[in-house]
Amino acid sequence: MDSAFSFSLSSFSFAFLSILLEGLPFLLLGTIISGLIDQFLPVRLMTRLLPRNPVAGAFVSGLLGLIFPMCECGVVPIIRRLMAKGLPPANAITYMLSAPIVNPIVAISTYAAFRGQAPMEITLMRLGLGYSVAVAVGLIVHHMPLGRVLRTNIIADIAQPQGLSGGMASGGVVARLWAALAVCVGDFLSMTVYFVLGAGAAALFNTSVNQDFIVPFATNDWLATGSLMALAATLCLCSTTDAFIAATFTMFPTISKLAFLVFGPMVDLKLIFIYSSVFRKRFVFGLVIGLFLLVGLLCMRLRVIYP
Amino acid sequence: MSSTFHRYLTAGVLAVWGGVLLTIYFTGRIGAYLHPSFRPFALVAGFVLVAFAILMLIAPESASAHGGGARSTMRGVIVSLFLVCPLLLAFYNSADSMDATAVANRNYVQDISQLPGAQSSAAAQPAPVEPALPDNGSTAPPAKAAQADPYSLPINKEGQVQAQLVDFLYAVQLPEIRSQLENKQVAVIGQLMPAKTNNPKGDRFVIIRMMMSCCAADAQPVALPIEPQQKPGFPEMTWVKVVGTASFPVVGGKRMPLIQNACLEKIPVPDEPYLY
Repeated sequence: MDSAFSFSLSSFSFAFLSILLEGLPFLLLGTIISGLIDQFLPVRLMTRLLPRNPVAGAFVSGLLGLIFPMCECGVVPIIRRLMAKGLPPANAITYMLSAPIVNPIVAISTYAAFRGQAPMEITLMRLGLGYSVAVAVGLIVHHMPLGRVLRTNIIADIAQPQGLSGGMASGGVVARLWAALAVCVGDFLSMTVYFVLGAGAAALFNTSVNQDFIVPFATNDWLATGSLMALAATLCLCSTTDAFIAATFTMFPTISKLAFLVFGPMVDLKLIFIYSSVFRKRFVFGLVIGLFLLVGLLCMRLRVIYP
Repeated sequence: MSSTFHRYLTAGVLAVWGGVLLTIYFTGRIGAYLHPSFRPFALVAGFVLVAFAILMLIAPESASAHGGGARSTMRGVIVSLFLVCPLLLAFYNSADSMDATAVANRNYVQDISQLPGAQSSAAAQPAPVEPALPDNGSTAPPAKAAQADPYSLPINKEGQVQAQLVDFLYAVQLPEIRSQLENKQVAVIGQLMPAKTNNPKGDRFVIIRMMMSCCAADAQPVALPIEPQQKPGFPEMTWVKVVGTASFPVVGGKRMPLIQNACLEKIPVPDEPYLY
């Protein structure tokens, strides 16, 4: 058998660039929306829109992706801004985890990718499981102190009554647009640092690790589920298109493909770095492990439906 | 950091990123990196980043106060270098394709059911019997043959069936296509690679086409085994035209496509190297 690891600089550069080219437009879109939210969304509007009951708030936040769809690259700058505007962190995390899955674009692409492979069941299970996991994590985070979840600078932003960077600019629409541009660019640069790190890690795995060493895991449900979740985390696919990849893993059981589709948009190498711009490293580590276990175990329970 | 220096630095980073995106798009390199449906997003993002770079230079002083607070000059320079250097290094080092090492690290797709949307047609077919029965592969009932018109494969001026690599994978499952290929002289293009499996004598190779779902990083090699008349003298990943006799032997209870007595001819890279 060939070696498990072999590096090629030109192929690494090629994969690295392709991941950047694919993800960057969505990251940019997220930061543009983030800038507009900062300057045009009235302070505390989110808290007025969402139910006061934190449990109900988490359930509603998990559905916001149906109205404000966003992929995983763009959602982090948005929740960072929404938290500064008064959205409780637990609800923000629920939205962050669910929006890349529970949105109409992902529903359509999943259905299309799995045509001929029970597309309706897969689509409903993906959205349902993604929603359930996101709400569950939100409810857990609700009971955690902010200091264990968010980075110090983010907590300071939330503590300021008018949000990040001093809140809305004084003056008319033009002044606010200039300020929104500055916020957008600031967010874009800070997020892109993490995106570059994540794309580099994904490209390294993508081109250097021999995938023949992964395939043997497909024969066991537990190993198949775990290995496909690990693969999802390393491939860093966009949630709008990852179903087309998952549909090709025909040698893997359905529940492991479902785990790939739910875990991938919540955790991947680049997201771990991007999350670290908002959340404490220890929280990110716990989130990754917790999601891995939660999604994996829930999917294994679903073997009853999809043996 | 002085506000003016910070603005120039930020504008420079944005301009480099936008410039790289636009250069890759307008030089046509984008075709090697992204699925056609993603390419317009890269173009728009390139223009937006360049526009932002210009706007940052002419933005009023009061606006830049909203951009992310004061940073030290050193930190700003380091972050800017971190954002620009890997991008430019990748931009100049990338050969706009995977090399043989990276392709060999991926699993070859040799079964049509591993391609999106193919499961239903595959599932509809009976399991093959070893050895392959002639009437199970080379002929199709008239009613089915009439339905097979959409699958009709063209014949080139040399009298060979001009097929796409993926047609052979479909032919394993669909008798309508298999009947047009089996025991016929066929011509197909792809990139030459060594065969990983079913190669006990070491005389088999595969030709591959990369199948892309979103971007080049997720592309999977779709492979067709060939038995050349003589060992090819081309390096791995060379684009070749293969002419030979198509067969569909059953190995281990599973039918597989194979081109026997294959003659290989080196060809230039096609306009569209990927399958989508």
